[in-house]
Amino acid sequence: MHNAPHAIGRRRTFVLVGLIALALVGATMSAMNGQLTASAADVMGSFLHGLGIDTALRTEDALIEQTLLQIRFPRIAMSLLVGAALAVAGAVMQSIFGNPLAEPGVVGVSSGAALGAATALALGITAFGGWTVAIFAFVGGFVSTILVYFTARSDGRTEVVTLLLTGIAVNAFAGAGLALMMFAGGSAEREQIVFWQLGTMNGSRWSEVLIVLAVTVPTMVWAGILAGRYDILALGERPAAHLGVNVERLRIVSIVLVALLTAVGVAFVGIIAFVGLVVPHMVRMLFGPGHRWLLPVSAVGGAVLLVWADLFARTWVSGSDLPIGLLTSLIGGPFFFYLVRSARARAGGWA
Amino acid sequence: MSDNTMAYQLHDVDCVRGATTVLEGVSLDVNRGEILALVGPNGAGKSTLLAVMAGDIVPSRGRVMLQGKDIATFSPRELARLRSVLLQSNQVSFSFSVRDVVLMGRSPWAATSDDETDERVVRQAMADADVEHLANRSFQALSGGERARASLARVFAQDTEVVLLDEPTASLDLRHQEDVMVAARRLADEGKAVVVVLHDLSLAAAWADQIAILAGGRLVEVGVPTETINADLVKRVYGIDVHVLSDPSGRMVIIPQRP
Repeated sequence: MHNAPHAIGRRRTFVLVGLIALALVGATMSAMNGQLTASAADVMGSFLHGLGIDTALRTEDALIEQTLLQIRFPRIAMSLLVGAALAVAGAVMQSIFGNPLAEPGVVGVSSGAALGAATALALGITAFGGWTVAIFAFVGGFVSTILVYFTARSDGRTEVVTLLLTGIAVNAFAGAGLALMMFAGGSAEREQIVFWQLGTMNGSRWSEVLIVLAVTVPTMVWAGILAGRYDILALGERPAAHLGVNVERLRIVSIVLVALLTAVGVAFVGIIAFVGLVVPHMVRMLFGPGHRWLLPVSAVGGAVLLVWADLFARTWVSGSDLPIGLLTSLIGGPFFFYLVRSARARAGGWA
Repeated sequence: MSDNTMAYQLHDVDCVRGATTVLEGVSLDVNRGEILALVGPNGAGKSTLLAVMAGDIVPSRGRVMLQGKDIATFSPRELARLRSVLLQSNQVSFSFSVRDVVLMGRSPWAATSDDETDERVVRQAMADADVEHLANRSFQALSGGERARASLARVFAQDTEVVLLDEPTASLDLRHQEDVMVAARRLADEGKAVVVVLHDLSLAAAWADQIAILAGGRLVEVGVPTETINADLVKRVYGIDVHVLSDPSGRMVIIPQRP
């Protein structure tokens, strides 16, 4: 396969362009569909209007324009960003755990972040204004990542069984914590916490999208810069250190990256599991394990997955908005079974 | 740095891990252009000594000088350009190809090397370790011996002045064992220092310029193999009676006395 690098390059470019097209088509269709139906021209016109460019495409129906600009566009932007962030978080986590089954949802980082967010909400803490929930989610996510990382790993790798058992423990604890917060909070907080547990893009606002954007984009770029080091880390911690990688620093930085990427999404849309598992796995099958491709393509793939999943969630049952986390778990759960089975078939249980 | 600087100078190195003293009072010089074989019974502290020389473990006492400078003063990147290390067991997460893995050996030189040089060094390293035919195979799909050779190619590709090999021959067939030692010999002839942990005393005696015998964390003897190894020493260190013979080319052969 190395005899034809051009053919590989072409195929990769083709897939990447296809994924980007899929994201754009998904975003457009998502904007068009809903209780109010908008045409592709309406969507284009309103999008350009939102950017400050008024064209002949701009719709005369103010209600449609308002719906697109205030409700659907932020929701779509949120889906794209959170999808990309979760997929990259999964890929980074798999690299530092040396295990393709490591994923923020599975090992409990998402529920840890949700617990942090719920704590802020239920106890009425608003110390950091609009950022409060995000910051508390980050702290919860960070603590649970650290916890899982240092209990489940030995010698730079994680056995599947240890990883999953640690995940069960963290998820159980965070679940209990969330239940406690439900008791502590009023009925409004209770409802919000339930939504967090299920995950939904419903009600995404531009102010929230901007926070997610400000956190995830620099974080993903940072992860991309570390791509070469993640490749070398696949050799194990000692060999990576022998090749000049500062392993200690890389893993601390990576834990922060994973916690940031996961927590900021959880803070505003709740727990959406398995994106970080399914997407990097698919990308590895198409692009190979090298992180220079894996990270950016996973970002695009995650965006595609969530924008389509959200469209589906909004339109499947007319008049109701299914929780998106429910959908991703419906797909991701069986996929996870399949991965566990194939990991078990290999000696040692890691791939 | 003058040409006569030793590759390694270890002064009175102790290594305590938990309650056990793994190394005690080890002083050892390693010359450039030579193969030093580290031998000794299981648990003698060979791998620990190699880890100390690699800079992985900071000794509890004593000093380790690499190319005339204290090893603790090097940054990870500087160290990666000075010494390469082959560990006993080699695993790779995710299905990187053998070529990918060998190319990772070039990473310390990323800032100073170009693609053409990398390509040439990688091809030579894969030829030396006889893994060219495995280039596009996934590392995870290889047998134990193939993994060891692919990892050895990665170490060769790192192209450092000091090469540390922990039992590179352990899972290899007879021919590949010899190939590894031929490659080590060539590195030494190019002026590099090669430290290799071996279990096969005959292999060590045949290829090493110096042999260091380790037992119970202490250095028992260091010297030219023919002057160092004898039946008494082997009996004392390993607790087994051996015959020390000569093969037809005059090299030393050590075999157990069997009833």
